[in-house]
Amino acid sequence: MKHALSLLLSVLVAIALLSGCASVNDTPVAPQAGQADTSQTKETDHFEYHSDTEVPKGPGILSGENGEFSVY
Amino acid sequence: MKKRVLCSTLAVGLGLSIASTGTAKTVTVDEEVLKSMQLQLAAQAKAIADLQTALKGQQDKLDKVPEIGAKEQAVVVAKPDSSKVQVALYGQIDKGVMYADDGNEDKTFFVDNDASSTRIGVKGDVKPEGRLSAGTLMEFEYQTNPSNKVSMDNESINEDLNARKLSFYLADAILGKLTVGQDSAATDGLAEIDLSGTALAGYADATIIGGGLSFYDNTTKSYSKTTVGSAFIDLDGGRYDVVRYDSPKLYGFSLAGSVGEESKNEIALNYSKQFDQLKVAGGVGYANEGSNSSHDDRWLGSVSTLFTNGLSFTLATGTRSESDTQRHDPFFYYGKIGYQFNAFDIGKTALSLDYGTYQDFALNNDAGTLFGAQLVQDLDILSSQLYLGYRQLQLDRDLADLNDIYAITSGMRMKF
Repeated sequence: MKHALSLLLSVLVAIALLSGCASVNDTPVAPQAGQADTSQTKETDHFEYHSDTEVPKGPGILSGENGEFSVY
Repeated sequence: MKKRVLCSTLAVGLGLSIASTGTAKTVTVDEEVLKSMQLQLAAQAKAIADLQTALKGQQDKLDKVPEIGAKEQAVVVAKPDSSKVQVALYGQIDKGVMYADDGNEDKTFFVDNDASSTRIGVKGDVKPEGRLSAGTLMEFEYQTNPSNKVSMDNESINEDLNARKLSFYLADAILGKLTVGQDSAATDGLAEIDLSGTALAGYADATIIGGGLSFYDNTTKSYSKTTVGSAFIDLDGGRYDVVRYDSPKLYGFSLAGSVGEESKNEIALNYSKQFDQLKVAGGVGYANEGSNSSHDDRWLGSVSTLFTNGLSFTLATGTRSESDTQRHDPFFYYGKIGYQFNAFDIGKTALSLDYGTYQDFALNNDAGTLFGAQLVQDLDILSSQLYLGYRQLQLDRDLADLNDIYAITSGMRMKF
């Protein structure tokens, strides 16, 4: 069983290491002469996991676009 | 002509004579008047100086008025700025119908889906200048006929209002976040990370749908004491009074640790990141079950990926060490394959199939197997999700012949 957890941790670490090569959060590098500037095509990594079992983000049927009733 | 010149000369001479006589008198008068005027001027100068002094005094008083105003303004600034303070009410209703068949009896239940129960909350956030922020959270759950508790014997359960979260937090963008109060311990949700979009209809915790149903034993022709809720556990963490620390995210990783009531200690490593072609979320954790538990330690983790083409893969696993040396340490494995797409204007559609095995939870050598299928249809215009889930739960036990339990659940979650 501990092997399964170790495997899971290994998967996470592997993904993290791979992300070091393909991170979408790298500091943009100025393109060399003759190269296309692709920095604008990279996404910024703002992904935060939000469980589907929690109250979802986004609009509410009564609260509208805000998704919450602003009390103050 | 000569007469005119003569007359003019006389007139000028007379005039000069008169003028010279007058001047002599004036000089005499000026000396006397001058002293008088000098005295008057001195008196006037003194009066002016007095007036200036008085005016300056008044001006000083007037000048002090804006200073007091500035102080008052500073006090106002020190008070919470409405633009930096937010207090909001939020919540959802999640109701459905669950049909269950345990091989001996079948019944239709009208339930509150425990996968994401009916709840309401109030949260407050303060974000002053700089890196600091703080806030409060009160979240309550109010379920009637919870899908994890109804049974063939009891289909009407009116739950009390239960507190899910009662806590406050202090956060620093560099140092991290500290949460105090009843809230998620470090491993809460760690076995249930799921990007399939179908968690409403089923995920690693098999107890949420039909958890109160008992297995019927064909050998004894009676219901066993084992329920789904005691045999299909995903070992996920819970919510209780904690002091929890969350580190800032670094390269997608963040660390969480909590200490809480009954000497419970938990630690977790979380990961979430978006790449060009996929999103990844996962985590692993460890928990010491505390002084009042029959379990010692708990290890768990899960990872889920969602590709831009809509495919998703989810894995979860966990184990627990028992205090009773006669008991085997229970463990589980769980996997889900999903696909989500936007075929309809009403919102995203998500489908998935899942499988899990749950060993030694209720009794030694118990082997539980889960099969399931899920469908969740977003209804964007209603801020809602329609869901349909199927579960088949098998439990193999020594010297027993337990019937499988089937459950179909359908309903809708509406965020208000």
